[in-house]
Amino acid sequence: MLFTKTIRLIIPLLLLLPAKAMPQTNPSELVGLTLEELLSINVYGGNALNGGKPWFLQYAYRSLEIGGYQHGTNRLNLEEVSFSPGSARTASNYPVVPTLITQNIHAFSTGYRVSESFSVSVSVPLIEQDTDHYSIVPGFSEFNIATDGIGDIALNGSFILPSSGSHIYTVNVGVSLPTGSIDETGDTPRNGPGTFERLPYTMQLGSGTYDLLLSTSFSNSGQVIDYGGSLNSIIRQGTNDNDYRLGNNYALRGWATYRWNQRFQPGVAVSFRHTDDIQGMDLGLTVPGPFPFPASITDPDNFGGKKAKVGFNARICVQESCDLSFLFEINKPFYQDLNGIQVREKTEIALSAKFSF
Amino acid sequence: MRYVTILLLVFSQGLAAAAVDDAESLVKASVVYNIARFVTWPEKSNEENAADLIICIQNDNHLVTALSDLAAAQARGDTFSLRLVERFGGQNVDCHVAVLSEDDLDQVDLSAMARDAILTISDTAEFVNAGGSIEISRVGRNMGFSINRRIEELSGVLLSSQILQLAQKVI
Repeated sequence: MLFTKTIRLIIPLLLLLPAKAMPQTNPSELVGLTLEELLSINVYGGNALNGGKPWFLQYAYRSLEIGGYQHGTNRLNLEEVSFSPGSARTASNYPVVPTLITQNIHAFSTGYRVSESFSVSVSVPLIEQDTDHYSIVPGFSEFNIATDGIGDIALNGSFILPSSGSHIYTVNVGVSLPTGSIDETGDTPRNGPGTFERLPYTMQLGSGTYDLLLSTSFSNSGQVIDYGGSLNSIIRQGTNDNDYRLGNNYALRGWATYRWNQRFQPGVAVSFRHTDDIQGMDLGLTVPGPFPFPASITDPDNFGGKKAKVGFNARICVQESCDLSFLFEINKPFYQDLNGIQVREKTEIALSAKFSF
Repeated sequence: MRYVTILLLVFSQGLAAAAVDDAESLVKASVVYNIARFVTWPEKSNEENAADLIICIQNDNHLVTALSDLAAAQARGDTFSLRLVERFGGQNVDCHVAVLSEDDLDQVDLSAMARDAILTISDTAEFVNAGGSIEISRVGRNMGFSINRRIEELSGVLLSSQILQLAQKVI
């Protein structure tokens, strides 16, 4: 239903936008222009990052490690989080404790510039993730659970707002489709060895809801330094089939790149992200008794929080036209204020290849 | 039927966008030509320059096609000649303007070219800081350029006040 509504919103906007990509493209017209007229031509239009080409194909790989415990801004050691027989069981210690979560995402994207100021894109993620656990349950003292498969497919429309000079402002509207599974299962200690139960929220591949993707960005190009900022949000809609909704997500990011030459542009970025906790609860993850959550990652209150990261990146263009480019990124959190008891984020590494044509 | 119409509109807009793939190179080539029109070489008047203007470019430069298209499209009486050179370095080139790529910079002496009254132009970043005369660069959605006036001191080439005013940076 939401998807239909989004399409109905995007199509009228698309039809209102101009089809003309650039007014002068004929050599005989260009040769008659004055220098002032040439410099006023919107050469890069809304597709400055695509080098003026209407299509792009992109493969992006992102690897994230999550390990070590934290409550708010306070770090906790494993003994403080794990429940040991003989000690008091509380809402802050658990018989099952994830120690390291690894997530690898392979995202395949394509985009098309429909007009000077409007482009569309689709992104399909393939997700691989696994979690190492420690527990007091016999037969499960150390165990690993893994899931993999297609994640939530995202459709995006990007609008370039009218502006002059070296500034570019964009507004992006999209929708994330619930194509990722929320029913992944594994052999957990919940019902003993050899039984497969539904896995916690972090091990699922999708949100299970139609999510609105709204963002706006600003960029400025100088002689050798480009800089900009963006505000991104993921607004979850409704509740999924397992009776919960992942938290809304809001991120602010600032970046700058240095144009060393046409083929190499190193950059730096700083981002701040706020994520709400999970609304509702998957009752299939709980156990009877006064402490229903066998592991921290089964408690919906132990999700979300505030994170700030600094990242370094480098873009390498194969040719001066930059039709084929590679981007390397490394991001490291320098501030994390987490809701409840959570495993904290470590280093994130990303590599991508983009071909414009 | 409504959706077929929408698809056709989207497709037609896409064709318009595809037709401008080489727009960036064409505009750069036009900027090269236009800047050269506002330069006076020693012992020549501006009017003579326009007719005799020789723009040299190495044949593997990414702007060759755009400059060739522009040369073919120019009006009679207001012309420039495009001269393709095998290699700039070590070759005694007879040009008013040399369009250089990043790869060319390793093999040319920019000061020597300036002393020979050759206006060097490139879209390589930091070109004017390296001693080149004109650097074409992206300024937001538009094209812009920077100027290094050293060629005026070295050879008596004169850059008109108009291009000095339009430049993003003059050093």
